[in-house]
Amino acid sequence: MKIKGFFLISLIFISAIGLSVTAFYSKDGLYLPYWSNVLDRPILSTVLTAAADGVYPWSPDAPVSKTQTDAQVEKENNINNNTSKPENTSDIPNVPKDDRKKFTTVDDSYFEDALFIGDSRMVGLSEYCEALDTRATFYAKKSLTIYDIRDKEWIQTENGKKITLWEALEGQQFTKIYIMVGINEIGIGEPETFRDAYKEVVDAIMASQPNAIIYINSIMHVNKEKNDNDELYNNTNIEARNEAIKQLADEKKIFYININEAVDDEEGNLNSEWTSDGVHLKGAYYEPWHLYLLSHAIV
Amino acid sequence: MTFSDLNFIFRLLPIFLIIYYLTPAKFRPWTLLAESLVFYYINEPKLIVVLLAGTVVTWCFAKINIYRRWKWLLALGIILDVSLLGFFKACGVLKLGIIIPIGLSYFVFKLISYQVDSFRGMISGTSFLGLANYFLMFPQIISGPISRFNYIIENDFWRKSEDKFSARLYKVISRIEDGLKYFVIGLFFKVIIADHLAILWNDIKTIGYESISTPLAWLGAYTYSLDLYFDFWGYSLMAAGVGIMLGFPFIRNFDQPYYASSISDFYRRWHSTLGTWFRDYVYFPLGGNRKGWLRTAFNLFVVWLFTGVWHGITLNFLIWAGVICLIIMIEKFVLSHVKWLHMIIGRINVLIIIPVTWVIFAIHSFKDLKFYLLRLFPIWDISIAVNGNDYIKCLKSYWPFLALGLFFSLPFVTNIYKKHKDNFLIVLGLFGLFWIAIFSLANSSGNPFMYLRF
Repeated sequence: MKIKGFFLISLIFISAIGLSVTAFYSKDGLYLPYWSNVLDRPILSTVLTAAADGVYPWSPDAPVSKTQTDAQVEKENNINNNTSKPENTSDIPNVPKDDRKKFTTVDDSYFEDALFIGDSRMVGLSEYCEALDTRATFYAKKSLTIYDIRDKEWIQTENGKKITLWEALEGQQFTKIYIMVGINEIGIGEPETFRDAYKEVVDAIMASQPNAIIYINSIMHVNKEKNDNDELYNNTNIEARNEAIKQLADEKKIFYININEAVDDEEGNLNSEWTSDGVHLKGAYYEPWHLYLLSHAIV
Repeated sequence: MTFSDLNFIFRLLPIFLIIYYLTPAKFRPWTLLAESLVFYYINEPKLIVVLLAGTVVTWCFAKINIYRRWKWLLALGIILDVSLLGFFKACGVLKLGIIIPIGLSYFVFKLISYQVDSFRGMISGTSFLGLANYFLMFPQIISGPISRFNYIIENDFWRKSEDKFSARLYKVISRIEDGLKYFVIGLFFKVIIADHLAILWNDIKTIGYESISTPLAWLGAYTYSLDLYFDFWGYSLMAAGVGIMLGFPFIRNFDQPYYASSISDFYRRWHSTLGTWFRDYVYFPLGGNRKGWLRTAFNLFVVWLFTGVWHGITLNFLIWAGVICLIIMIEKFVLSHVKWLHMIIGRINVLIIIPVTWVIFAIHSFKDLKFYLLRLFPIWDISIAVNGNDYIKCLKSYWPFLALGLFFSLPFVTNIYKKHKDNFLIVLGLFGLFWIAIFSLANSSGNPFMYLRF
């Protein structure tokens, strides 16, 4: 069937008007979080940005994500309740005054029962550090945040289903758990809110893995060029958050390791020779991080 | 503001078109000129002065020379044009903090083309309005295509029509519909195919070239070849589409280059408005291929030297141009004597050597380029910490975009489209492509690397 003249332009015109009206109609309700300055972009883009988040014109008015979060927090509490007993019995009785542990150097067999959790930089570690990848378990995903770890189903199982970290940890025991997240959520909340979420995650992991030592990896710096030009992703903001999560370390079961010592240049920025985008280490330069982990182990 | 900007698509372009067509036919060239100035001003509020000055000076020269026909004045004009471009390019290389006005090289190409064509008697008269519209018209000002002056004259909507109002309205709307189809296809090519393949190419850069496997190096070369193709072809289709909406003819810039029979043929089909520009204003004036093989080789060398330098004054562009020039010479002087060999090797050149030359084109640092080439051809091992499965991971994440790229590179897809472009289902399909592209644009807010996510 042939259509000549103005079919496409009519379709586009009508749909664009429709989306704009939809956006305008719900601008104080459903689309309130997405409604930006009308001068900046066409209002129909509001509907599309929201749809990418799973908010559709027919979605209920209350933001959907909230209820999900609640459900997951509950689940977390369950984990806390179920597994808190063994921790109490095993740890609390012998508390001498100074039982703080010191770092020593180990070999790669140390990582055989280790778990690594993190964002794309942790993905890089798994892909470009064979010694770790062949021994340890990695739950790492591009763009992962501490809030994702806490609330979301983000770990892909072998049959393609997505599960939460808490489900993934069930029935497994690790003795070392390394975490590095923080760069993606640097624009979200304050260092304190970040620390509090981090604490929730650490507490929940400890509850589920009573025998594990938790290593909080400092958020890795960005290089000088990025640091000097980026208002958000710079080392001042990164350090503010590192200072906050450092406080979570108790030197008994939770340790803060400043991996920036291994990858910084003299000025305290990520070594520019070792990165091409200013944020990620190049494949060839994950080794310093690996060596740092080897020399900063608790036994 | 480029064409793939929501504010251009949903605001500026509709407003421009409405004002343009509300203007009486006789004054439409003035409206177009005003709109072009507004468009350029939005992009380059200060340096618009450079383009205005260039336009006025060229007009004065043309005014004098249409009667005098002084060769030295033509030469002076061309020297001034080239120095203008050279000045800004040099400032960029020397890092003097002076930015080159957007689209200046395309503007200069048109200045030269106009002066030479006028001198050759191919342009009658020296109307300021025609000349200024030719130099500054907003569909072509940023990145071509490089039309010739006669393109601007062939516009039916600049002449008073005797038709009834309803017939005129139908003509205008179906004209816009025609242009819109090209625009939608171009937008999809650029936003969905090119911009996503660009992310894969960037991922490879992030890994560091010394740590990529050889299969990933080749995947990268083909990814970048498709990225560049759909980026520029998509842009050219959008520009041509906007031109059609304004009443101009279609202007072709790409013609299935990856199905070329040789590298010479490839560059007749790739960015062909640039290729024909170099042919008509550099290669032919030097004598083309009519003065013996030695002169032909020299002329080819000059053309490719200019092409290389025009793209950028770094070593990689010279190597890029040099390699292509050399292969074109081999094709021309050696292979052309053995037809069947030419047929086979020509295709191999296009499908294997062209992607490698694009890698040379893309990587400006000589050290990085050396690493990449040694990963493509691992004659000696410079690799560090290579993950042998890296290409599988990349294929898993990006196969839809690679597949789309390969699909739309097939000539039969274009042929089927041309045959059935008024078909109901095809138009519905375009409607879908449009909103897919817009959805992606709305969620990347103009950043080709989507959100910043690490």
